Amino acid sequence: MDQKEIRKLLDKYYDGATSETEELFLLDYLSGHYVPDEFAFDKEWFLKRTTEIPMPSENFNKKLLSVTYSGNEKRVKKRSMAWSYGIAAGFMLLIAGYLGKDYLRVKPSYMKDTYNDPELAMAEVRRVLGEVSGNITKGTEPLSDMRTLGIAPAAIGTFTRAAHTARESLGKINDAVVTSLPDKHNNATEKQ
Amino acid sequence: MKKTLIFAALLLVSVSALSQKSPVDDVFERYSGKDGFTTVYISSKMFSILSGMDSEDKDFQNLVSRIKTIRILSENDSIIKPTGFGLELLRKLPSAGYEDLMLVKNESGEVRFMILEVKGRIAELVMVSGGKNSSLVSILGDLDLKTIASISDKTGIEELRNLEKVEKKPED
Repeated sequence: MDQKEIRKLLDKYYDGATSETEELFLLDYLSGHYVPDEFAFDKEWFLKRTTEIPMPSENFNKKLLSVTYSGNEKRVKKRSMAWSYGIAAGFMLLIAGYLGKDYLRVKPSYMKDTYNDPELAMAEVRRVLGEVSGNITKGTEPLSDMRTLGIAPAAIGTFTRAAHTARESLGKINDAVVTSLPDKHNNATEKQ
Repeated sequence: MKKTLIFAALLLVSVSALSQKSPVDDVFERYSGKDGFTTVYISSKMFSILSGMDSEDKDFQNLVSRIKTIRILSENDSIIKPTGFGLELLRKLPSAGYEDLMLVKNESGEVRFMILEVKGRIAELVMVSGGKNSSLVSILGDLDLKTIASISDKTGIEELRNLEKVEKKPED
């Protein structure tokens, strides 16, 4: 492979378009004994690049974990905070909805005063209340009969007591009549 | 993501549950303004004006001040095919927390009274009339049996005073 082709391949390598085989070829070529001065810079760079990557220190993983762990914790905290805010916002909406439901609800078209004149409105109120009370009266009329029936047992009791007293009195009169009758009869016999 | 979706769904369900309409509101919204229906609405603002009006009848003024709104919906005689919204409403009211107060049957049909209680007070009185044409009266406010009884006092129906007696416990 001549130098022109090597240059082309190197350009391709710097463009990041070389395959693994091509890269191995370049490595082999540039690490050889004879490398033209033209590729001195490339040789230096290429050989340095291939040096081994140092292993991370023992504490590296720990440090990395501690950094990444605290980040996760913050993220979790942020997420839980977002949930709390969401729930709080939901409750706020619920309360606002409850308190403002009357305001939020669009009033139906019929909910406009039929009468603008208070005198007419008052007359209508009287008429309606009259109609309502009239119907209630019809329903409560039997209650007055029930009340009359409620008085009846007391009246019957009074009548029974009076009848009892009358009967006792009649009995006494009867006894008095009976006791007085033989005396009269005896007196009559003596006269004869 | 999944949790967010569940949370959003729960939020939507809660908000929709809070904004649910009562069956009475629903009937008014559906039928008001339609041909063959008459709607009357007296707002709380008008009631605040009415309660401030000069009147010799202080008790009636007190009663008016306790009423928030009155809504009336009735089917006109001209309606060809009655909707029977009253029956539909009566079916839905119990599940919405309304309780039966009384049922009055007369020659023209049935009149049913239902109440909605909030903390032991009557917050709404609903009167639904059946018969040929349905009608619905909804009175919102801070009502109780004495207030209802006082309606009759102020409208010349003395018999309704019996309600006051009903509320009192019999003295032994």
